[in-house]
Amino acid sequence: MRKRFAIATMAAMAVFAAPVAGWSAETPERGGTLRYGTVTEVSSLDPHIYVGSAWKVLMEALYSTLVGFNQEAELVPELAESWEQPDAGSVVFTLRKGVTFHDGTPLTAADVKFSLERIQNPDTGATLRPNLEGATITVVDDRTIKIEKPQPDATLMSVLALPEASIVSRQWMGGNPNVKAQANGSGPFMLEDYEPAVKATLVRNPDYFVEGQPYLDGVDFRMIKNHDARVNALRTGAVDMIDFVPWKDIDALGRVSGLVVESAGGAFMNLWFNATKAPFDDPRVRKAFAFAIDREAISKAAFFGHGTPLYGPPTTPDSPYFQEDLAETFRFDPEKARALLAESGHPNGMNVELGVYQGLAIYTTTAQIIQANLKEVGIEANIKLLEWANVVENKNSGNYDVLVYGVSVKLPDPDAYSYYFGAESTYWAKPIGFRDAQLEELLAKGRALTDEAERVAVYRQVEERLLEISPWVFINWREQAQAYRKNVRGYKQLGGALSESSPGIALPQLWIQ
Amino acid sequence: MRSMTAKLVRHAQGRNLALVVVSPYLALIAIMAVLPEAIAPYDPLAIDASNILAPPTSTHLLGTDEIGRDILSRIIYGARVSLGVALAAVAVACLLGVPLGVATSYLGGRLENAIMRAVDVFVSLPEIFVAIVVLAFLGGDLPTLVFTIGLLYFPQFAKVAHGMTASIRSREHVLAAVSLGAGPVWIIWREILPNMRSVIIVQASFTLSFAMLLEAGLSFLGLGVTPPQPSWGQMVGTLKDYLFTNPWPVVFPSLALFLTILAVNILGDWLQDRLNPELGG
Amino acid sequence: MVKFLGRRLAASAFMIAIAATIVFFSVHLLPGDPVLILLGEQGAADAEVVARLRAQLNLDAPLYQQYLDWLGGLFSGDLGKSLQTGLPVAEEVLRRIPRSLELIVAGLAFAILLGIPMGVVAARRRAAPAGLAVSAVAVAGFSAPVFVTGILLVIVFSLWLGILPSSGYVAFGADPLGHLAAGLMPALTIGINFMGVVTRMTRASLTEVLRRDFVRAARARGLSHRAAIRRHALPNALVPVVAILGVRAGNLLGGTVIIESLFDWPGLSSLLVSACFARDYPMIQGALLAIFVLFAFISLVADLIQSFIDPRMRTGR
Repeated sequence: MRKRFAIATMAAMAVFAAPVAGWSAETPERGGTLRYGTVTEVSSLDPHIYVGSAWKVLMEALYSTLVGFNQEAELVPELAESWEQPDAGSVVFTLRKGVTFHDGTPLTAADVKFSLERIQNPDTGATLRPNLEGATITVVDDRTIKIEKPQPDATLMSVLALPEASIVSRQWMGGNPNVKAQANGSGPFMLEDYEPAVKATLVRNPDYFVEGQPYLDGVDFRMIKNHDARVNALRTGAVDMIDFVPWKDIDALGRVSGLVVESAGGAFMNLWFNATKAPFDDPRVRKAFAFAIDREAISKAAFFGHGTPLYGPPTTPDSPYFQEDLAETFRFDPEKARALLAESGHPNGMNVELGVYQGLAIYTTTAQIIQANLKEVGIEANIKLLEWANVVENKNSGNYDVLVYGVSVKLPDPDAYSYYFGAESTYWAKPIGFRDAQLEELLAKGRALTDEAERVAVYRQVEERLLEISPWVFINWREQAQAYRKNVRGYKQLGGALSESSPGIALPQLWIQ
Repeated sequence: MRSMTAKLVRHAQGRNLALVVVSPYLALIAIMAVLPEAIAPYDPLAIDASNILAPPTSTHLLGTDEIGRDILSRIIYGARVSLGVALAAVAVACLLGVPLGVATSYLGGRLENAIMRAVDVFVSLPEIFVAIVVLAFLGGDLPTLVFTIGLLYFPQFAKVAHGMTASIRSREHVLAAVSLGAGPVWIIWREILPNMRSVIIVQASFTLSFAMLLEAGLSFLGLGVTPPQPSWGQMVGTLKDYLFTNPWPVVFPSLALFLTILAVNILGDWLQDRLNPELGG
Repeated sequence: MVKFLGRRLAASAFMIAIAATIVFFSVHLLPGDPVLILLGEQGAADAEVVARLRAQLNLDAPLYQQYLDWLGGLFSGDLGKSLQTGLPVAEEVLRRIPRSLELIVAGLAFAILLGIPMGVVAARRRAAPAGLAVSAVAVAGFSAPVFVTGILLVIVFSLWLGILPSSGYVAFGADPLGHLAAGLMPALTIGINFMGVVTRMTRASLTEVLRRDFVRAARARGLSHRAAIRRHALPNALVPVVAILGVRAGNLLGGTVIIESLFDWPGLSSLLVSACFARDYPMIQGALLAIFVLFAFISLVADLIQSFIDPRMRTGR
């Protein structure tokens, strides 16, 4: 299969993406600074290590990737003006002409090779290292670069479009800068001032490779971790836009004239089992939990109605991979839960420890409802509040019974399931030694296919298998909302894996009226 | 100029007036703490997701919390945890601090100095740091919380006890007793502890207030009493999230906290005046 | 005086050394792994990557070795680099100290200016309604959790009246007025809480002093009640107040995290707490070291103030 994109159409599409996609045909005005309040206290600007949602936005602003997503969630050229795929495991990129880094040095294929190899290097600790494992990166000429993976990989393009795959300057990196606190990318904005965990001041990159963009003169990131402080900053006009609108405030802010709230499902809440340890190694026990939970109550109380219950697998209805009949699998049914418990040899219930992150009300509230639900079917759950450091440590050492865990969609591709459940993934399965042969086989099959119809069939089987063995209980979608003042134009909130990147994707085309 | 007698009468009235108001209140809180089952209208853990953050109504007199639990019932049950944690923590601080302070005074010399310096070091450690460290090591159950808060306040008791011991030991009648052959145990039991009592009680009433507030502060950071168990501090710390949109639910636990601390302080004042041997009756 | 200062400094240095050592070991033994946090929740936390990163950060050396390295650095004025940001710890800590100090000093000033007169009223009219009312106000000040006080201030001054920014830090150099406006509510929150403490302590201490012989003697010499209080009783009564204020002001250095969070004020406490949550060892150690040094300094100042207001100390007895 071969794909070739014509440079002219793609460039045109990128330039006119906002007016075409937007809900009005206004002409963007240049100038102004966007003041953006973020929940994440970004402590590192290393472009290859994900540290939170505001980090993604900063990376989209400061750096560029070979390809990217537009506001319609379509794959579009960025540093690469075109590419072709000789086979399902490799891709050849042709780089755009005349792109320079913020320090003025021109971008070449050597920079791309350096960046991708930095991701592969275990010393970096890069987020995408497992995704690029085994790939060979070859500089064909100054403007051409070839990436080959040992096996067919349908996710390669989506992976390279993530901000975690940003391209850095080889020459600049050679000078051993502190990449955690400095930045030299080729993105629409340049870093002017940065105080870790407090603020980042960005100014327009006059030499940005998309003609005429960005519209804004600059962006001021203010990291406001306290939710009320962030909301009040928007209410009082101290900032123009905030991320991670607290669920209790989504409706309230939406009613304020002069403000817009946009939300989309970006993460989903789950129960994670230590699925190799008794009694959680029995799928019937896990399914008993799945039937016992009143997701409607969680959606109402913990998410103020902005958390659609997930009775099936975490695929959104707008996705081509969505299976309507699977979406109703675990309707609230305490009777069935009790029956499954009895069947699995626990007619008198059991005691479990429920590990919960202590820092967010949605977690503690969800946990308390789950605790009450489980009690109804005879399961005595003891809540244990954990600091984030301990959540991560417990998860990575497999030291837990059941965890309440929020998962951001990892990839805009159903192969995200490999990351969640694959036996080699350190995310969940590997630390507890979970491996389901049938699932492994299906996931490998799905990754190797490129035809969407064939993939839909395979991922249906993946999801059926997942519901059958229920390694996690999927609880509900967590809508992630951004709120902004009405004079901020050109924003669009995307769902799923692009949820956190949405402000970053929009940034070059945002403008202030 | 007012006459001395008139002043004394007013004085006594004022004190008693305060006590007349405070005693029944504290008695009520004590009943809540001991017998919540008897007075609470609802199960404090019963959730109702369709009725969250409700203002006071005839069914829920003080409204409901973020998952629809009855706030009145939770305040009643919360009395036990809040007062229990605070009292136990004060007891821990007192039982660690007073013996240490008294004993150190008897050690003398470099060792005395070194121990009191170490206590000073402890005083300069930020509360929140100590809390994070202890809770990370031991987890967030109630005994740990008691231990943490006790640990945070014991240096103050040690310092007070140390200072008082030194000053009482240098009093003439105590020196005389020692020269007549009274041992340290006798002196501590008959002279030092009785004379220290009033100061320690005042310190304890102060500490009790701070302990209840610290518990609220820890809840703000998500390090306090583990839910769903109710405590006033935790209720305020959790419900403050909704102060901007649904202010009702946070008012009542805050009020419980405030009134109780006020009562404890009035009681402390009264005890201070009453027990201070130099003031006479 | 010089000798006194010298001894104080030596004792403080000794104290700080002990404290820093305790901190070093307790922090390193904390459950939770800084490397895992650095890699992020989506990170590739496989054993090889974790081991390499640990080696890069010198976290695989034996603990005593790390301790000696840290001490060595300390003597050459190097507090190490933050694991999170890779920036020098000293730089970050120094940036935050003035921000915390100004809030504490302003809050203290407010508390002292209001608290001492209130304490005097409460002590003189202990039985009268005025005295009781003052006591109740004082208790209200410190019995409301600081976040409740803070949120109420925000509701009134930012959301209703719209005259103060609800949160955020503005550098003095960039906008002096904006800086003051931003700092007003956090300082006030500290002040209201602290005022209660000052009032209560002044009341207790003054009540005690008023019964002593020398105050009665002063009255006998014909001084008015008011003058007797101002010239004799109050200075004596303030000695213990200043001592305890010193300790509590020192405690505020690491104790304003809730206020800083509420008002998005990037001070020393929030630095310490986020470093703790991220297990950023060098940063925790650096922040605490700064707190210890400032604490020692504050208690020195408190001692000097005591010797200044206490006539007995002033004559050198």
